[in-house]
Parts: sequence; C-alpha cells; structure tokens
Amino acid sequence: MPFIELTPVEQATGELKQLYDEVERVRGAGRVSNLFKAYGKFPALGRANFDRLMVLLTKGGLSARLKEAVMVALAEINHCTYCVAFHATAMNASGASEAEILAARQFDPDGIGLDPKERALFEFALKANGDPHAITQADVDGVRALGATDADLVEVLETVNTGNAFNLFAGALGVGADDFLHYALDSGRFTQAAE
Amino acid sequence: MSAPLRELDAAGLDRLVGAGAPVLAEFFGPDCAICRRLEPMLGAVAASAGDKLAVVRVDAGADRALAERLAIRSVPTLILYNRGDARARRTGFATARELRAWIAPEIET
Repeated sequence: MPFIELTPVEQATGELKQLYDEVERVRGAGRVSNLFKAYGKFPALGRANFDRLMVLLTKGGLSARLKEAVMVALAEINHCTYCVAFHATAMNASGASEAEILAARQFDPDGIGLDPKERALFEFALKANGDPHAITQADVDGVRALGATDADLVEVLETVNTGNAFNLFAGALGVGADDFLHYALDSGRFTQAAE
Repeated sequence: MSAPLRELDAAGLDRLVGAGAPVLAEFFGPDCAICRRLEPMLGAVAASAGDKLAVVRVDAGADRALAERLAIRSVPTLILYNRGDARARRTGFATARELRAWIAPEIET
C-alpha cells in the first residue's frame, strides 16, 4: 500500500485532472502510473516532471531502448521493484526481449541489443551513477570515439538523473506497482502480453 | 538479478582465501556511498560467475589490524584472490562489465 493516498483517475478535478488527462493522452487510457498519481499531490510539479520525462523520451537522439535500459539498471541498483517492472515493460515495448531486459538488470551492455555507441553510453551512465567525480576526460573521449555527441552525453546523464529521481520518489512514498504491469521480477518473464 | 554478498570478518576471509578458490573481497566502510553503489555491480558479477567465484564484503573499519595488514587505505578497495594469494587490487567504483573483465583471467584458469 502507498504511504499516501493516491487519487483515482475518476475522482480527479482541476489541475490534477489536467495532469492525469495529459498522462492518458500520451500513454493511453488507464495508464496513469502510481508515480504520477503521487506527483498529483502537487499537480504543477507533477506536470513539470511529466513534461521533463516526455522531453527526455521523445526529443533526444538516443534510442528508447538505451534510455529504458538505463532506467531498468538504475531501478535495480536502487532496489525499486516497481520501477524495474515499469521500465522492463517500457523496454519490451521498444522491442527488447526478456533476455535483453535481464542483461540490463545484470548491467551487461553487451547483451541489450545496442549498437557500439549506445553500449558505451550505457556503460558511461553506470560509471557516472557510481561515482560522477571519477569520470575522466578519457571516459568522455572513449564514448566520443564511438560517435557520441555532447548532446548524447547530456541526454544519457539526464536519463540517470531522471531515473534516480523517480526511484527515490517511488521508494520513499511506497507507491507500489501499477496494475497494468505484468513483469515477474524473480523470473524476469512477462506473465501476459503488454496491454 | 544479483546475488546477496556474504559479509566476513578477518578469520572468515582468511579461511575462504586459504581454501584456494577465487575470491573477490570488497573492503567497505559503513558510511561509504560509493561502496553502496558498487555493491549491486558486485552482486551482478557474483550472480553471473556462479560457483567459479566467491564475492564477499569485509568491513574495513571494524578490524583495524586487518586493514593495516592488507594496506587498505581507502574504501571501496577490491582484492582478487586466487590459489591463496592476492592477485590484483583496485579502488573506487567499477561497473559490472569492468569487474567481469578484471576477474576473467583468474576465474578462467
């Protein structure tokens, strides 16, 4: 059970309804996640964070598979089981297999189905998350040598920031898994096809 | 998707290393943030290595004599043992991929 009351979609009014409507417009009916129901307690902040997420997922040059794989890995690091299930589902929607999702959960960039540049960016993201002040010019030059641009670096680092922020929020408020997720954490299998 | 890491004291570490099989020991401090971020990487390495490698944690602050004997100057410090000897060491954060590459020479022989 969440530690705070989450307002059901059908009871939302005003700014909260506007937030929920926007989430459903983008994700589909019935897919307002518990995370954004929790953010709905401060609707303007919820909207700002949803907009931030949409910029990250739709405006950048990196693949959805890479960004969701980074989110899966961060969720695993942060012990956010809800977030693992959510981003595993999103990674699957981007075409990743169960084995590729497991590779992300095991921090193995070679098993995710990424091209060399995005494999290096996945690794860069994990290094930055582990100890950002230990990143060196050589690390940056290494990903650049595989074709990464400065914009790619910003995009993947913001993926790390966003993942960590949402993991913290979900964990601290105990928001719990959404009923539209069907990913079994222990087996790494989907128990039914995505809705 | 990661294995829990066993925590050992000095005597436990000495027994495990003395048995001769490959051991990766993380010397950590309880207030070390980098150690907390490293441990999921170690857990993933432990899960993928299976019974070819024991991955353990040792509280470097709890046993100053051990830390002195092994010259642990900062945490996290990683020491890779094989056949009873320390074969390699490194400090700071490392990704699971870096760790898998680092341990490979010892667990493949």
